[in-house]
Amino acid sequence: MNSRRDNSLLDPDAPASEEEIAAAEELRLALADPSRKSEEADLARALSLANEPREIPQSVHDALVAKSLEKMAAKRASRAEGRGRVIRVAFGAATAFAIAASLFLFIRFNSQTSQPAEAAVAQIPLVQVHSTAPLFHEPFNAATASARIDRIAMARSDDLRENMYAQWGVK
Amino acid sequence: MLRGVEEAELEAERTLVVAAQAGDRAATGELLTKYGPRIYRSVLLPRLGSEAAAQDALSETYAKVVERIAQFKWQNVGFAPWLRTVALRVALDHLRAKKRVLLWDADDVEREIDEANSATPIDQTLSDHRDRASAKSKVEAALEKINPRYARAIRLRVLEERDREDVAKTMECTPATFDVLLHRAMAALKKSLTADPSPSDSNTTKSEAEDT
Repeated sequence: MNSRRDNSLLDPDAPASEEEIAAAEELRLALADPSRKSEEADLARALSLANEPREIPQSVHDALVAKSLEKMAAKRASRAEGRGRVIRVAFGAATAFAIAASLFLFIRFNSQTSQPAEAAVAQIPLVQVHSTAPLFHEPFNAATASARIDRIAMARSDDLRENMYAQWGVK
Repeated sequence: MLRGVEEAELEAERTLVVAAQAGDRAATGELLTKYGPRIYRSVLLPRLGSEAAAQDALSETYAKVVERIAQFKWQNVGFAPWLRTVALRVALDHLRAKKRVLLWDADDVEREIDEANSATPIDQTLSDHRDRASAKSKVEAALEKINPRYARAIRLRVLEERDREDVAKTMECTPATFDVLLHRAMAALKKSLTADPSPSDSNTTKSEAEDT
């Protein structure tokens, strides 16, 4: 079958088979009606268009240009929107950064202002625990009443006050 | 004087390109309208072999132009050679995806793209003439590979678009016999293109029929 077909492709005058007659009719119809599917008719049209290419219809071309320009506008709009989004994000980030920076500065400033007092505390020696012996010069008499406890309480109160002033940095 | 005019035209085109690159729609539209129809006719239609495919390819070409025009560097040869190269690349993509037999195949177009940068004439009319001449010689080279009687049937009916009955009379046969002749001619051409998809590249132009 194939060799017969190959023969017919080489010899234009070879007798036509039923199959060839049907295919020839199909080609005739497809050439007259482009909506009919036919590879041979498509190739024939391709040859014709390569040999004598036609102009693109003006309305078709105008539509293609308009479509591409619409895409161009849409692309620019989306790019601008993207830029706007970037600006908003950047603004938000900058605001957050500014708040964080101001908080940091506030805390740092506060800690710096409290530093002199702490430094002063470190410099001023606090009253250390010490013996009560220096408060008493007379010998202790257990049989009589004395003001020893009052003297100790007053001395410790003084120590406590001195230490508090030292800690507060007001000394 | 002529050179002065050409320079002025190039300068005007450069202004349009700069405006298009800045996003000017009118300038972009003007460039596409000036060169697009020629690219369709001389580059896309012959290579893709169908109006629908060529229109799709032109649309894709325009989309790529709009997308990439910012990357285009002006080189004093105008906008057309760049547009032609973009169109050839789109045609190449179409040919790689094609499922039917055409005169051009992907290798042919790849070669043309390689040559495009150095060989595309600045003058658009000259470039169009070259593309048209190339297409015609491609058709002739393809027809020379088949039996001369088949080639004649195709020339008369397909290329010259003469009436079926008229061609049958010219070829001294009945219309029904001519239908068979034309079918055989197209089948032989298809077989020849499938066997050697680059008709213009071959020096062997004698048909197998002539050898037998």
